[in-house]
Amino acid sequence: MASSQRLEIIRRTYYDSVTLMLVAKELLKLEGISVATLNMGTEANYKIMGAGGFDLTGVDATPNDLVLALLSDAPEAEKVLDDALAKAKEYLANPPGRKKDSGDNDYRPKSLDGALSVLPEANLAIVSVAGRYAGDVALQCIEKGLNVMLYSDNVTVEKEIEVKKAAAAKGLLVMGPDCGTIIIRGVAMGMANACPTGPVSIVAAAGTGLQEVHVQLARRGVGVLHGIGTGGRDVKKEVGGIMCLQAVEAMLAGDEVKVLAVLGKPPAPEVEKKILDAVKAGGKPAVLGFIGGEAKGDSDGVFVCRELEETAAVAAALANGQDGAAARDALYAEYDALKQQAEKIGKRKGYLRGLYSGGTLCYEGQLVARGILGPIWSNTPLDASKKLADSLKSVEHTMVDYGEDEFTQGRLHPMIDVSLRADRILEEAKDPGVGVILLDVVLGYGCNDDPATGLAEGIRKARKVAGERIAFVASICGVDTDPQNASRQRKILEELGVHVCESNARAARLAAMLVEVAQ
Amino acid sequence: MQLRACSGDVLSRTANRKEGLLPASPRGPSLHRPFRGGEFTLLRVREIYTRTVNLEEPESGRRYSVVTSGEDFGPRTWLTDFLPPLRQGELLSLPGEGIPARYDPSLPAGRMNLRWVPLVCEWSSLLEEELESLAAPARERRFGDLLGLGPGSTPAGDDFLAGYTTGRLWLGTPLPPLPDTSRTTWLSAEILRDAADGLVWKRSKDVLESLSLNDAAALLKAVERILNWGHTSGRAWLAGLSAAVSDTIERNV
Amino acid sequence: MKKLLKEGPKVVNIGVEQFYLDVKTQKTEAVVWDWKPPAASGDLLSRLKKLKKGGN
Repeated sequence: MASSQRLEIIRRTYYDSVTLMLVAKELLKLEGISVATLNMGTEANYKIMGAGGFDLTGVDATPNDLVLALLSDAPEAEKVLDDALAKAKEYLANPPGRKKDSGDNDYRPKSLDGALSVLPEANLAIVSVAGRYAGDVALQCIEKGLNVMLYSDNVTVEKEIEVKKAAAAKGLLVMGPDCGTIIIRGVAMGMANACPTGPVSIVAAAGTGLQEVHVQLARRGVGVLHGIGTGGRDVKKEVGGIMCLQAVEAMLAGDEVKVLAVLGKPPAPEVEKKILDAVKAGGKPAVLGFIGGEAKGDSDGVFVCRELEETAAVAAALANGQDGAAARDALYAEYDALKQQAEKIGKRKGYLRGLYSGGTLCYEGQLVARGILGPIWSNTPLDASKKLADSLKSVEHTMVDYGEDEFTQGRLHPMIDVSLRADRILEEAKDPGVGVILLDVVLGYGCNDDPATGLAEGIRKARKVAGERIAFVASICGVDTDPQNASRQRKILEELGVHVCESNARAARLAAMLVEVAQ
Repeated sequence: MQLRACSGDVLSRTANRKEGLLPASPRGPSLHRPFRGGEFTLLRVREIYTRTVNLEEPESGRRYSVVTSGEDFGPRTWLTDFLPPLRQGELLSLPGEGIPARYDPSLPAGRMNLRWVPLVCEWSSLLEEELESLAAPARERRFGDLLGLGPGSTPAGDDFLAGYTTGRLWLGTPLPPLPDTSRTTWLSAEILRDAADGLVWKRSKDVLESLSLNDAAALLKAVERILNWGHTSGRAWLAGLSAAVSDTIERNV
Repeated sequence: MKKLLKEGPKVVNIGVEQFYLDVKTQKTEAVVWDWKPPAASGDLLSRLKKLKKGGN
């Protein structure tokens, strides 16, 4: 089937990625348009457009240029493409379905001073502009005495340190860069779930890690007061955990916080030790949940966990005045029971492919699956030797984190735009060597308003190709009070025969157990 | 044409007008039928837009308007539910009294709340998109170069000057000499003449009024409404106001 | 930071509009800074030239 393509470069322009996604969505509704993407001209986007069937020879768009790319399979493709292109420009001038939906049509101040004259008591800036500008925007906010949530990724480590030093000098907090989630006095910001407020506070070097623990606590009836995200790089050697330690200290001060949980991907060992010491010295019931971290063994009222649901289960028990160790044992007993579930579903011949939107969930998924299946390939591998040469091509057992910088430069995070993962599901299904596909579905504010339906499209196509050869396993990181409603999302997937688990730790276990390991 | 309301100055200004009934145009009897028991103003239809008809008083050249939205109230304006079919050049008689006055076009009394200074200052940047040609003369206060600058029946340069004039008068600082308005369009010259007389359109008045209050939500709404005024009119007007505020601050420092 | 934790967030949002709307949904005060990237290379160049000439 021959497709006709149309590429249009709009030079030196800037649209936020949500607008671009909305316009692409509208264009796809047009008769005869099979692919429509609007991306900034980054290298990563070239790669994705190339994989999507576009011939990009001679295209010279820079990261400051918008590339409008359309494919049509219609008989009168040229006409269809002309019309679609005109429509696209119209939509860009007047983005579909945005402000109208929000019912908030007021003037938006164009300067920080102007914004602060409107809300002089402001104390927090949420910065989610493109990474190359984000650091400077954050510095301006710090100058004005605002704490900063730096949602943007692709911020250089030099800039990060500059921003954090400026903040430290003013006693301000910088959460991020790449901080997806925070909760302050129960108010959930960024990509965050609508869970109750309560006695636990969380310091997390991980967005989806924070979300998963927030959700797992809610499922156990326990609420969260603060959830401070630091961004993953904070606990690495270069930055040294500046913000993580500062946040831990703030959580330990006063008696509002009853139980503290500190979690994330594993920090640099020396940073991990510093954090552990600080938590121990605080004298509060606490849980350390560094996924696959170095620290081991509970002591001095501090429980050391290796997974997210485990961290939440122990923290919930502590918040209820119960025995943390017993809660952990009970949880692992439940995990053992997944074996029977796997037998019942029936094992599959072939590899496990995990397609993740949440970075920490992907990391945890790998750790769990490696324990059962051995090495896992990834674009963010546990073991550097298992790094995929091409993130778009799986090798043996593979788990891909679509939230990595390579996929998010100049385009939306996969928690907002599920289309890349939906397409990949089909690609994986075409590979006869694949037996199990594992997914995360992250809900909450800021996330796609119906990710299950987006993924379902890919799953349906995959079913046509692979039938029952492939088993689908998913976890839903969300609650019923989230805008997407976790139960409704679950139902959409279950109707397609997806095995939906209560946590990522369970889903990764079940998925790995479903793989028939050759003797 | 059912007239529902008028701006207050229609009454006061027509009160001094010469006595006597002028004959209505013989065409379109229902439309031009003289109003009973009031004074009359005979006006020529000069410009017809979707929501506004601008009329010219033949002798003085003054603009009068009939509008269909209360949002579009300005000096010497009548409000009606819908505009009847009109032709350019035809004569229309409209009442000077007997209609409720719903809008007072004079400058509001309140003083500017200094809290809004940073917000007003950022409006100088409203010239950055599409109005780049205004940016340099506006920054350098080259009023003569701004006059008549830009496309349409009210060039954006004139909107800037109107905003500037209104701003200076409202803030109570003396006006610098402004250029001779005969070099721009009739409508613009009329707008500038009104601005110099301390008369304002409702959207502008709403902005000035909310700048004197302490209600952020009301101000942001008023600003959004004026931004929707014409394609660039509101933006240029706000930029002019911004310039007036910053000049006033500079004078007082 | 202590003030933020004690009083709860009052937000300036810069970037993704949805974050602003979500905060408002949670009955939290927020304002948008309608940020635009600094003018790209061409204009920057001309401004640099002006700077070199000693202007502002």
